[in-house]
Amino acid sequence: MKKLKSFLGYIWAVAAIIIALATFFGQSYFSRALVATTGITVNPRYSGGEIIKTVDHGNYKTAMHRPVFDALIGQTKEGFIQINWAPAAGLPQVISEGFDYNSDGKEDFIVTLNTATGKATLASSNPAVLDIEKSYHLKNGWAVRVLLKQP
Amino acid sequence: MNKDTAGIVPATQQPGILKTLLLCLPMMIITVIMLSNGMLPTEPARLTAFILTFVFINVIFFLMIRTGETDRWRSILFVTYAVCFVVSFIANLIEVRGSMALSPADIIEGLAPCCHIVIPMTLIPAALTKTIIFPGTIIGTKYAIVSMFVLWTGATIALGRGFCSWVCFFGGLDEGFSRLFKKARIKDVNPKWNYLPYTVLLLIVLASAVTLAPFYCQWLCPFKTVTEYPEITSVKTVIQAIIFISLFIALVMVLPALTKRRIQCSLFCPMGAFQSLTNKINVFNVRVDPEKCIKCKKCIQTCPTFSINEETIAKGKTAITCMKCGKCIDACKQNAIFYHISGTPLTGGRVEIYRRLFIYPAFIFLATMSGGFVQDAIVKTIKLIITGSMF
Amino acid sequence: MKLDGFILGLSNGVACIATCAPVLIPYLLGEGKGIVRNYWVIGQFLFGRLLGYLLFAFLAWTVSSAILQEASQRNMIIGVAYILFSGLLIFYGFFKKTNATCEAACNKNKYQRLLAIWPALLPAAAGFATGLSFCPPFLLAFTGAAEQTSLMMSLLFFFSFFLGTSIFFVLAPFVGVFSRFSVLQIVGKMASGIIGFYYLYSGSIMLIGGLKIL
Repeated sequence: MKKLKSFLGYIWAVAAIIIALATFFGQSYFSRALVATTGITVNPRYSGGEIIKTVDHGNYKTAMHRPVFDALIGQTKEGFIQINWAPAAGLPQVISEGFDYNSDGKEDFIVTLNTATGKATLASSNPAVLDIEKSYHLKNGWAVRVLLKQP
Repeated sequence: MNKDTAGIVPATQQPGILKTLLLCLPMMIITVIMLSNGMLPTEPARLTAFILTFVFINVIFFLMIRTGETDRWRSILFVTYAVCFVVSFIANLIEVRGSMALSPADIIEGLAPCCHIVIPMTLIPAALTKTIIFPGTIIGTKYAIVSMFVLWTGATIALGRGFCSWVCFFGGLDEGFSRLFKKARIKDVNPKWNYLPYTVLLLIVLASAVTLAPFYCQWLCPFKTVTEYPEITSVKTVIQAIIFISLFIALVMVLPALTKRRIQCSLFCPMGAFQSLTNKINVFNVRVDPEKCIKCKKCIQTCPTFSINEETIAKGKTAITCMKCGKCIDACKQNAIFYHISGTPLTGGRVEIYRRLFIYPAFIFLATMSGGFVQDAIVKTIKLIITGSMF
Repeated sequence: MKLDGFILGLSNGVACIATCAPVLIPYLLGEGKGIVRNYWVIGQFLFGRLLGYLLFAFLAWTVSSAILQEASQRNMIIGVAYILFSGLLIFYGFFKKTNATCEAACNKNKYQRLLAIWPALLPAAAGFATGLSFCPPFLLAFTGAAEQTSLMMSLLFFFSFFLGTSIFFVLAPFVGVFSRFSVLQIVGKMASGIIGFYYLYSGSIMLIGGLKIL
């Protein structure tokens, strides 16, 4: 038993060298495999969530993300929806665009964004749409987060 | 223990030059491949940096093998690694983002580089929501979240809490300041503070799970001071910045210098506490032979992490907080402390074999991790000298 | 659920169980009664505690609605209370040496007398007593409940605080888990101390806000 334990100890110690090498040489492979296996993504509170609708305006595109109410378990009462406009070079000085975030066929809110100053205003026609949380000057465009509450 | 440890060969009986070179040959080959990524650089500044780094790293390893001392040489590379990491990291941030500050736009674009300390905070949310609560990229960059997870997993399996003395890119700062003075100005630290890292770990894990945000990064990380910090836009961000700077000055600079211990690493860092818990799966440990011990307490005085005391010596072990730096082993003139591999006998003069089997994987991590940053810092410095700009 | 109440409860849950459990749990659970019975007893204990907390939530709201009318006055008084109690919590967490902070743990004899009269009442009564203990985290929870704008929110705050502290009691029937009470006590108290810094921050912000309105 002592000899077996000793043998296993040495095996494990030598394996540590192989693990060290594999960690660096296989980092890219292991990372991809882990992502593929677990399907892990960045939390939508940071990424804004999946894009559910894209509108092409010719010089620029609008991307509407899904409403984010994600909590650790279940959903929060208040959340947000993120709208992106890109590329920066094609954006007009003032963007004014309406959105139907719950796909009920009615426009829920209009966001007006001044791309020179970053000032964003909201005209809401749905009581679940609360306010502009913030506008963000991205590397290649702009984004706005609109605060929502659960309907 | 007495019977078991009979026949330990002193670690000072070291190999000759030729045997040392032979033992170093594998590391030379590995470091050439790791540092060059399989292709030697052609740009003069990069080639110079590559050669200097390769020689520096391999001289350190040569001395480790030749002299039988571990910590003495490890600490030189470890501190250099931390300093070069800070230089390289800040220079890259300024080059890419134009500032060390992390703006709200950077956060929603996922431009925050991820470090290993994030890992414990992400586990519960990842298990329950299949998402990572960190504003970075999942894959594909040097500081991507999953890449960091893979690195941490490999290092944890191979080294356990040895991670803190051989892999962590922050630890060298703490260690550097702890070596500033010859004598400790503060000698007694209440042992109850050893539990603070576990408390911080418990709190940040729970708070991060409940708030779905990396609580430690937002409020408590001392290293934000020398990496990146939230853009100052409100009273809240001012307070966060004050906390980061205060913790850095107190825990990484002043207290380590006054106590000659790695205070941040041993009395605050939640990642250290996490590593102590995950260390259970690791095969390497540090053992003490109470029979050989003459109770000089040199090891207790020198241990940078409060991991060895009379109680642990009597048990022939170090505490679970031991970072396997080797400082106590170097300090023990009786050769009563040594690296050990679980399951193997303590007899038969194999101590140096155990040590080598540990320092090979440990040094592969240290050399590879430090190599990139040291090269980059040298290149930036050369550019700064020649052109007046780092970029 | 009120997140701040829950986090305050969570941070104090370890200290709470570490101070209550060594005295109460073995006493309440007896020996060798089985996990199911243990859970039943713990359930009664927690129910008693919840009643105690809700009573205090009601009191907090009453105090708040009777005294704290103006926004500036409200912010300043609650801000000062936060600062004072968080200071107490930091002291309790990092510097106070004695461990007997839990009312229920200190009053074992009272329960023994009660047990003789009505044994079935004991766990709930012990729980109620812990719900009325004036330890620093509890005082902060009281202030937090007083800060709420309605009775419902005050009750919800204390309910969240209760949930946070109770999570750790789920493990209580497995008494073997608590073999290292002293370590748990230190870790738990330090966790309370760190949360004290958060409330110190909140109190300072509220006080500044109150002064600004003035």
